[in-house]
Amino acid sequence: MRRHVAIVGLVWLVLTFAGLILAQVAFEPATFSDKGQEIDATFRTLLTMSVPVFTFVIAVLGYSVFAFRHRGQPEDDGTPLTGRGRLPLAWFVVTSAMALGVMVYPGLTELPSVVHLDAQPDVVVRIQGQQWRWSVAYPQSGAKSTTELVLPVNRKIGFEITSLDVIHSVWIPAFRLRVDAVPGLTTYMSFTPTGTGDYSTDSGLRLQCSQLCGLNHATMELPVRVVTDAEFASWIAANGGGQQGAPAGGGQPVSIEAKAGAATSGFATNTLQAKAGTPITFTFNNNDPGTVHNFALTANGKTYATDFKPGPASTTVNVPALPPGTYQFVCQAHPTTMTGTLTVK
Amino acid sequence: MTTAAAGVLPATSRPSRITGFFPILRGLLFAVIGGLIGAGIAIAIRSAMGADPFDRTPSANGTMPSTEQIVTVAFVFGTLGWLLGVGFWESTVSGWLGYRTKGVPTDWRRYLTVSEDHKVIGIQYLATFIVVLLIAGLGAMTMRAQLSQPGNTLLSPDTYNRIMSFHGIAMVSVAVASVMGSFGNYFVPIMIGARDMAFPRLNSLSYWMVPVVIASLFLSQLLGGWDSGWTAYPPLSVKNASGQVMFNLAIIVFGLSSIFGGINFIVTIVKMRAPGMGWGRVPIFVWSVLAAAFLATFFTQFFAASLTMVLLDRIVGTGFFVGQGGAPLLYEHTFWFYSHPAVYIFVLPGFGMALEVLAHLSRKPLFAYRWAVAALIGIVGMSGIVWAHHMFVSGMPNALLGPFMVTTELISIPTGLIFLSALGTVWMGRLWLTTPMLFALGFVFNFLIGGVTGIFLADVPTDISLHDTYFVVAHFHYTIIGGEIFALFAAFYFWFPKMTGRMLSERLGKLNFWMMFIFFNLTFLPMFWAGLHGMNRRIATYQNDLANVNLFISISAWFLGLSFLVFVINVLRTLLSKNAPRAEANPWKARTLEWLISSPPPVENFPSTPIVVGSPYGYGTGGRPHAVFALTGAADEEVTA
Repeated sequence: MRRHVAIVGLVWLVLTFAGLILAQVAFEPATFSDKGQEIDATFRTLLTMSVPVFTFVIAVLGYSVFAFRHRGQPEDDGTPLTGRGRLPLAWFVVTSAMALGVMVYPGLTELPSVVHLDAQPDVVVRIQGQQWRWSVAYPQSGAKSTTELVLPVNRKIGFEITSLDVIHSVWIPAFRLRVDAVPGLTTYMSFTPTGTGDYSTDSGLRLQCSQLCGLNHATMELPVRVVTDAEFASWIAANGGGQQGAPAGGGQPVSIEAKAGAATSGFATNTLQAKAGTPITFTFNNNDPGTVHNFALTANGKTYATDFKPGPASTTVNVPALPPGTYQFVCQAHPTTMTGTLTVK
Repeated sequence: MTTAAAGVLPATSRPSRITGFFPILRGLLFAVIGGLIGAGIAIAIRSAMGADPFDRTPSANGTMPSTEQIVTVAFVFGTLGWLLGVGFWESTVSGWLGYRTKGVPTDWRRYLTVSEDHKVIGIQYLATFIVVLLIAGLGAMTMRAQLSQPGNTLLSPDTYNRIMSFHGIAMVSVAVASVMGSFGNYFVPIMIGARDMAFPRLNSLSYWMVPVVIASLFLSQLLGGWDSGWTAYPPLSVKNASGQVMFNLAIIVFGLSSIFGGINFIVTIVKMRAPGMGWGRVPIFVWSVLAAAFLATFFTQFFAASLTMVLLDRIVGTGFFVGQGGAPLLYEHTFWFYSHPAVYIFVLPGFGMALEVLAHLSRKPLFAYRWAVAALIGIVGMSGIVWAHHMFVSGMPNALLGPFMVTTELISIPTGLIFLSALGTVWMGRLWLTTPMLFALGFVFNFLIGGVTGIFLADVPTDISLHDTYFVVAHFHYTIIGGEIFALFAAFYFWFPKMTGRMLSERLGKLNFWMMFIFFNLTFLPMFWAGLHGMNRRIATYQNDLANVNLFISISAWFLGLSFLVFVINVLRTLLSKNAPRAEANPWKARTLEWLISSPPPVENFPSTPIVVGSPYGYGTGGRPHAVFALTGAADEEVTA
């Protein structure tokens, strides 16, 4: 018995030593956020802590199979160890202490900083999910996008997340962060990106839906790009941010409507007129019950879009003064069926 | 209590004319008739209320309430028709109403009828769920074909989502019922020295609801299937194809079956133990079934309630989860309030089974038996306070994160005691490495990996990163396949000789084990890596840089699938061959009650009531046997009858 215990103890030590070395091997993909680094460190801590537990069971189980096996039917019975008394009590105490330990560290000690929400982030991004696409808006500047999520490096970012239809989940693998987008609820995430990069060089830099949301769940993703402050400012300006020259409302009013069934029949009208040289305020009346539409005008290489909202709803967007010409507008939720032309004279 | 139970023909009965496939065909016919009656009632009510019965206007959620109302009522009446037609008229209703009853056949045809014999019902459950396991496994093979390369067009996204959803719920039903329903039904009464379950008719009702569940999951595909997974989170499950309605109805019925089974096991184990079988002499498998039965009885209704609310949202527009005031998080809470305890319904009988086999085939007393029992009870007690660890990223208040992390990590303490029992039992044993023993040892290894990786998911910071990735997929397959299904196979190889009187081929059995063990690990270990590298769950395609690992997983998975073919060949060869080696009464030289009777057991189980005089695990102690048959009292212990 003593000899068996000694051998198993030795096997356990050797396996644990080997396991602790293996547990140092770096295998995580690159992380691009402050919280991602904390989470990776926590993962590593748990991995290290679990090694001796794992190797203990493997050592006892493996040694028992090796040393106590019988080819045929055993002629006699094993040593009748009933497992009463001190040993199970000691096991209970030790495993309880380990469970309590892992609860406290890294559990409760690491939790607050990872789920902490910054009250005053540098950049606020509103992320909206809908089947099966993401749209992002920057309320501080007015910029919007449905083609990529651009964030400045080393700035405190605050996400405000909503969903228009079913439950989605905002997951950016390279940031290691995730929270669901729930209809009727706003959820939050805050973090600081720590490195520049984009989806083309690191597939972890993508906003991926990670909550089953129906047909195209697998491909509901948006490329993410982390850039310098200067690049961020110019991207914001190119995507409707700042809106230099545009009035804070009160431009010449132009309104357009979507009636029930607009997803197939299009806007109520596909031609609009406006005067040149004066800012324009578009009012989009979505009267299509329950269906999400918006109004998006492309002019001077920029897109001016209203928010996505299910009807009935009224949304507005301000556009700076335009030179004479014709401009295309669409509903970004139905870009093939809901289109039209704005003529500026 | 047991006269009606043991299949004795009542005095007023005459020999049965309902044999062979007739009951099932008649059940199907009555199901169709019932369905038509139900549809007629729904149409009549809609007309009487002034609504066009076949109104094709979609609801605000894009669903078709008229169709779904008709389907729901037709389902209820169709189910009643099936149950009456398949034999509950003869077995239960006609006698109660004062008409003459008919007996049941005693040859192979009894497996195709409503039988009240727990052994017949156990075999019915076993055969049914092995078929479901194989079908849902084919679904998994198809999914791995789609996932063998990124951007694969083998399956459309809709087909993939539907197969994935079907695979999920079918395997959950296997996990709930395969060990409990089959081996629980067959062996719990024998292991406690009873002649049958406490409520034999309720037992048959539990089983005969199952075909309704499985048929409905298939029929739902005619209504567009459902793409919301086995979790069926609204609002998606309130907005998707009408197949969702069939899913909800099927699983509500399955829940009812599960609750009936749970009540039956509790009463049987509490009230019907043989004289002398105090709680300290109850085999660990029976304890584990009792623990799981409590969970099934107390928690299943929460799943049924949440599915009913989804159903009502769809067919009558109640708005629990959608529209103004609808609360999607409410569903997640009620759903997981059942579905976390449900994983212990899956795995506790697996624990019991593995410990049972380890003790008998190590020829050792079950180590720390009383601590293992305490652990089972502890898990039952704690299982109801951990559910929200499935919701760490759901948007619920941050204040709930810490408490649920703490309760979840607490549950590792009783689970650790199960490991103590397993390790202490094999230590210094005489390990007879037969196929069931290999599967039981495989269980310990696999569940260790499942348990250790669970810590990363219980810890909130790491879960935020790993939630809904393939890390989770790997983790729960390690606990459910690696744990419960390995235990199911251990049970199958251990008890097959007792059930059939024939021995399976050890050579094929070992091939089955090694293929399954190796390729199971080669399939699911890489999934942890894929999850860490950004592969999320429930997707028909993925990023290009995950192509290699997925191809490796797919190939391993197909070999894992082949190992089940070896199993099927082994079983069919033994059952169909006339020369298959016969099993003696006690091929493993084990001590528990089922080994004291012939293989297969007689209808009445025991020649006379057994009297339990010692521990089921008294190996090496030279003490008393577990039980003796005597008409007059050899029992010097407290009699618990």
